[in-house]
Amino acid sequence: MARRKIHLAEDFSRYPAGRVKTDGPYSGERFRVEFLEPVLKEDGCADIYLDGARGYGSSFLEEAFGGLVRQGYSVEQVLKAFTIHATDKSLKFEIRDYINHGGEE
Amino acid sequence: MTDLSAEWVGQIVSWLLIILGWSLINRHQNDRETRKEIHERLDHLKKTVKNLETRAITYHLEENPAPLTSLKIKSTLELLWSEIAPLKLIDSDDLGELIFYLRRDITLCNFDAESHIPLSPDSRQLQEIGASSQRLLTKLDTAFISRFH
Repeated sequence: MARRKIHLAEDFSRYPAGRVKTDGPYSGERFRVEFLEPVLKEDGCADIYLDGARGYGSSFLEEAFGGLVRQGYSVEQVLKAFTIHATDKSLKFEIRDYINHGGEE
Repeated sequence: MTDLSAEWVGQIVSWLLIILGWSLINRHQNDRETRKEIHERLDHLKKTVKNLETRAITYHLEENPAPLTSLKIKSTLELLWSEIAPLKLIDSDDLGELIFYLRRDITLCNFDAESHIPLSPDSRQLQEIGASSQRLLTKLDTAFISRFH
């Protein structure tokens, strides 16, 4: 299966914000449902590019990536499926942390 | 012939000493300029981090913070990596963790409009924001000192 490329700023929004859909149109929940879960449902994998957006809130990142584990996907499956590309290394740390602890919230 | 060779060698040694002295002084001046430049950028960065902390705390204390403020906070957080990393003062793994903790403490909870409530001034979250900000500032200071002293 082809590896998908997801450029968050171009394919989703330059202004990602909020945890759930009621927080706004470009929430972490919406990104998870529309971009991340389909990859896992197909047992595929994807490169996710984070550069270009005007900043990320942790609630967005936690809901998008940690939320996958709460939805029942295993930590190993999520870590294996997605490769994060970001100039800002702190985003990679943060996403990995939320995936590893996603089921705890 | 021997006198000429000795004179020649003497001149070469003199020139070598002049070049060596010049390069040492030049290196010393360059180091001082680099130190001064990084110090100025650090001062600017420290103000940015302190302003970010103040803005974040105010945001969490307010009942109805302006949506634009949350955008400014996120933009500033995003700038931190691109402004600090090129200075090469802090190991990139350490810097990644420090910025991650600061962003998490500011924007993980109580940041989105739907879930926002004004926090009490002695709330744990505000203390954690202050602590994360201080950890980053301390690390910048100690990294600068260990590199230039």
